[in-house]
Amino acid sequence: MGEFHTSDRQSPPPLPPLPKGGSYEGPHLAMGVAPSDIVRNSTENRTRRVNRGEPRSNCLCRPVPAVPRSAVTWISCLLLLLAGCSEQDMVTQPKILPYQESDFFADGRSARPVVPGTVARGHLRVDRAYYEGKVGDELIDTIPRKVTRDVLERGQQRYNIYCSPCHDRTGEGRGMIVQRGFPQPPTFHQDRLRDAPVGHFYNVITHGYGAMYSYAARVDPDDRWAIVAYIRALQLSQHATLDDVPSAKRDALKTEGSR
Amino acid sequence: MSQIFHPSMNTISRVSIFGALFFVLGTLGIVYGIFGSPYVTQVHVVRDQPVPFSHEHHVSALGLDCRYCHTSVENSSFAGIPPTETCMTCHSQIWTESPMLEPVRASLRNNEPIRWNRVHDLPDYVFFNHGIHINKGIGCTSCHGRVDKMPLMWKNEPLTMEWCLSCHRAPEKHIRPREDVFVMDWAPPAGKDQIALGKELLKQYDIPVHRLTDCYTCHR
Repeated sequence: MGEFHTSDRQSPPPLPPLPKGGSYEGPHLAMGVAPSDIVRNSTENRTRRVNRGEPRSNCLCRPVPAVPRSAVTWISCLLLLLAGCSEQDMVTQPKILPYQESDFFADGRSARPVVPGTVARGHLRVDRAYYEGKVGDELIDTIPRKVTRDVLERGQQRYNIYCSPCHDRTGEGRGMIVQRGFPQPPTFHQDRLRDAPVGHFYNVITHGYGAMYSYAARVDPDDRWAIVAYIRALQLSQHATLDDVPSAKRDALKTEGSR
Repeated sequence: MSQIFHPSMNTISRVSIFGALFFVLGTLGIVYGIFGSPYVTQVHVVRDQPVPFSHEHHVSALGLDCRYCHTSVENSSFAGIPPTETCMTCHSQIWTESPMLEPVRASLRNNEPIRWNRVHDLPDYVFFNHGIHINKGIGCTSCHGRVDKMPLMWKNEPLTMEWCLSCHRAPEKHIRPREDVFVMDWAPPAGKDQIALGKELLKQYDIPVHRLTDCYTCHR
């Protein structure tokens, strides 16, 4: 943009016409000129403008309407946008998320305790052997699901997560929590537990035993049976003789053992 | 007739124009800086909790698996905050007199939940599911950082949309084998490059990378 040095100006151009309708009214944004001055003496104004020279478009004090219409539009648009900007309403919506506090109920809980006897869809547990490990009042001694390698591996994983803190990974009962003062659970590798029916282990996981809490909320019935299967595998692993090893693998075991 | 403007007005007007530009840009920069700062994102800022629970102690020192307490993380949108019974599984027997644990005992006694303060809170218009991330090989530490080294819990990542997208655009940088999701100090096996391994896993786990940046993936 060109500069304007008024002193350099040789011949002032013809006087431009005043804007229609006396546009000098109203507040004036131009620098150094108070609106009242302009309104008071329009002739002086004309003179001034001529002296400031051309081009008019560069003239910083060109009278402009206080708030141009386009600006009004823009500002309104911005205000409208801001009105939609109550962002917190979107961030925290009037809906319940898990465990969120709620002022609707007296106890402040959004998650309601289940009415006793409620059966969730798909959770009807009529198979007493599977869900309670019992037939009549007798503990069952056969795992009521097919035990495959996948099931055993799942059982191993779940055992290591939920049981090993106390029972340790071999089932001796010297886990880290026991080392920190928790009463030591009995080892799985004793006759009493080797002879115990599988329903016993299932029931202990489900209802707890002695100092042990129930794990029913943490381990679902499928996984409980998988863990029971893995406990049986652990017991076998610590109570096997060479005769239990398939004859084809005995030699390998002997050489590995002597290493 | 005297001049209204002194020639110095040229300089002043120029300075004002450029000054205004810098002012606007500067303001934007400051706003951007503030919104990215821990003051707003709360990254690395410890949240006060009713009980000073240490993940470091329970994970590193005792070796508890994440899932011992966060039981639903594998198959639910919500990882699960353990009920008081889970704490009391051990603390009914050990540290039973500890004053720090009094809120836990009170919770069990009065059958009232402990009011933990949420550390990771996404806006309600974001649909997030823990289960799918776990099952597609995104490790806990990718989002939560080394929780096993946090004596008190803090947020390790800003959880901004920009941050979410950085992984949704290039998941191969973070994906790991499913069985290693809960391993805290996991690193790609020796001699394997994360990107190469990642691309392999993306194929193996059938992850539609081109759909991960669709709006409806996270906004439903």
